[in-house]
Amino acid sequence: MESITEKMKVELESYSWNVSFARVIVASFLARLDPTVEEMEDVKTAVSEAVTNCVIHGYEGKGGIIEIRCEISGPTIRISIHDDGVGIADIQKAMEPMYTGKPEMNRSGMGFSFMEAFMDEVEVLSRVGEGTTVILRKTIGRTREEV
Amino acid sequence: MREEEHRNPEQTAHYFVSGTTLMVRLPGEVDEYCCKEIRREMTEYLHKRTIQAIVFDFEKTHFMDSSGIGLLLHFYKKWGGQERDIFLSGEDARMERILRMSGIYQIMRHMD
Repeated sequence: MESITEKMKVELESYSWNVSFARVIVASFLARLDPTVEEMEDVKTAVSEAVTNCVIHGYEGKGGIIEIRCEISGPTIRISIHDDGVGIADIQKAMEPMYTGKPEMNRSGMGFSFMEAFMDEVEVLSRVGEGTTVILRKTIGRTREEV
Repeated sequence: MREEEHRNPEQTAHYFVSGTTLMVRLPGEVDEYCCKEIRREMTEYLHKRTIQAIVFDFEKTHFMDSSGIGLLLHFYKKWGGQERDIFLSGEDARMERILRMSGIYQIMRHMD
């Protein structure tokens, strides 16, 4: 079968109750790759982490627009999650396990570690004062071929 | 729109007190949105009652992100230790993987 690229884009308001909505939207788009339950949960968890970061860190609870773009190309999904928030000064530090920029908010500091554990690739682009884009990639169906 | 209007049964915890044990039945999906609420509700129970042990029950939980880990760590730091125990129960394979990855089993025990 010829492999085509399919795309979708949604914009959500930065509220914590929209995080579950974001997971459901991406999961429904991902469904066309016929992922296993585990692959589906992996992607949902990573999306949840990235969108929560936009709400808490990017917009600091003040609201704004979160843009989610998904692209399916062959067996691979690429998800980009963008905010126009405060940005990250030190991306390497932000990605360290257990590091949290908001210790007073009872964050675990595991957000990026979860994204890295559940996706094949995690890329972070950010500029202070301009916002942050997290790009997540995962190829579906790898585990099944090995069985 | 007010936050309470968004309360979703999939994201609401239930609490049971038996003797000095508080059992928290976590919701189907545990994320930042419901963790805020659970933190508030649990703190209220811990202030009002004499509680010696907390059990986080995952029986209904099929999704949890790192916000849930933040919730567990919060109560471990604020409340655990000094003869006060925190247990985990009812974790499915997915939850177990997430809890193990986060090192939670090093500070809380599974209880059948």
